[in-house]
Amino acid sequence: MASIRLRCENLGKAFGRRWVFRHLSLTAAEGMGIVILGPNGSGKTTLLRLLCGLLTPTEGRIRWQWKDETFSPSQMRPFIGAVLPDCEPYDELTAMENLWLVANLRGVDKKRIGEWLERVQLSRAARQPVGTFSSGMRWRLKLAMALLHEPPILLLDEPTALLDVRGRQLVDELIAEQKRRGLVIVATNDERDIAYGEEQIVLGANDTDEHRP
Amino acid sequence: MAKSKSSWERMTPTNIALEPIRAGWWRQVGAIACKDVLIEWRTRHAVGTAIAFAVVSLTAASLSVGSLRDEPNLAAGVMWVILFFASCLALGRAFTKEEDAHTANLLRLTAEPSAIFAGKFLFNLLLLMLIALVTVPLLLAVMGVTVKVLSWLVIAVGVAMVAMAALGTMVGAMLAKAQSRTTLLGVAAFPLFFPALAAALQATAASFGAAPDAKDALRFLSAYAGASVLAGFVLFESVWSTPEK
Repeated sequence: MASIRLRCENLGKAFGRRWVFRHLSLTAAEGMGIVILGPNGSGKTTLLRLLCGLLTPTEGRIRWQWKDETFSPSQMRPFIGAVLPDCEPYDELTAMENLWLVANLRGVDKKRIGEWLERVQLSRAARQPVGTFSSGMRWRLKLAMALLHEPPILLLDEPTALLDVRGRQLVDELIAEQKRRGLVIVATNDERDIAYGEEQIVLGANDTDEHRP
Repeated sequence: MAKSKSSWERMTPTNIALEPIRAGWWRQVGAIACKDVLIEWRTRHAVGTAIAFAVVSLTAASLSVGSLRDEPNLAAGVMWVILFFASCLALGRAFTKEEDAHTANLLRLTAEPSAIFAGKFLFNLLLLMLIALVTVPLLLAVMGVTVKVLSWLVIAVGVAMVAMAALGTMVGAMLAKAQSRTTLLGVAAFPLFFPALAAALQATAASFGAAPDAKDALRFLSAYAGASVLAGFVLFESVWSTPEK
């Protein structure tokens, strides 16, 4: 039996009077990749924010399950690594200092900072302020910050949109590793990213959002 | 603040081995405070703005009223008006900057709320102490004020800064997403700052020779500062962690 499970029941999110999505039900388990598809404004990023407890659902509920115990999204935060558009590194700090901060907040051995800088191909830029980074370099750093504590759950928003060919290869490798370690949920517009998941959720298709294996 | 088990540890499933992803509470506090000090050292936004305000208003006050050697009550009033507004300028940035730069969610996802409060409180306290360290000696020199009992002045300023840092951290987190938040901080925090300001004013005036004793004011100020820090720890989690609706 898989250890980590995600269960969303009849989930809906509205901002004011506008429903972003409604009636979304979903289950996922360790070892899986889930791809969330949909046009801009269909609620892909909103769903990721709901899954890590940065937003509360307007209707329905989200439960993370670890063996026989259930947890709210906020309670699962220590076990989630997330690369989201509103979860940025500090521009005034260098890449190394940003990773040092996350290592201290997550309780990770500082030896892993160098390993991850190398892994995301930022070793040469390690001592540069993040404010001077290109969008691709910034994205690699965010990936390293999310994965530094090797979380069992990884949430990625548009993982390849800003990356070059080498960057895409890196994401392919990291997602394959993550599936061996736990669960990965990817929100994307890019059809090439469909390969990251065994299951797809299509948002914005109609009133009742579609979940297809 | 000694804690046997963090709130994250308490809510963590007991039957899994994920030891590396739990950080000690003090380690989180230190990391947040160091990060803020480093960023402030590189940008000097908060210190620069607050100290520039203090120096300009002190210069304007000294030009208009001259020496306050024989006016201990007025000197204490001028000092605390300048310290209050300079502090509001500095305190407002702690959380607004996190929201503006989209780094607040990084903290929400990675750190315990109480550690965020403690780290931000320590940084704000350091900032206010620095502002006081520049402003108070400058005021004494420019306005020719004589300090009769230095220890009362030091305790009044130090303890009032603890209260203002704690309350400012909490109110700053509440207002971080509002518009016109820098202005709002002064208005919203004033009723909370008022008891501390009134007691600090009384003790400062006494230290300048306006009253024979400052012990009652200092006792009240210490109790209020302690209550402010405690309230910050108790209330911050609900202010900071509640997910957006």
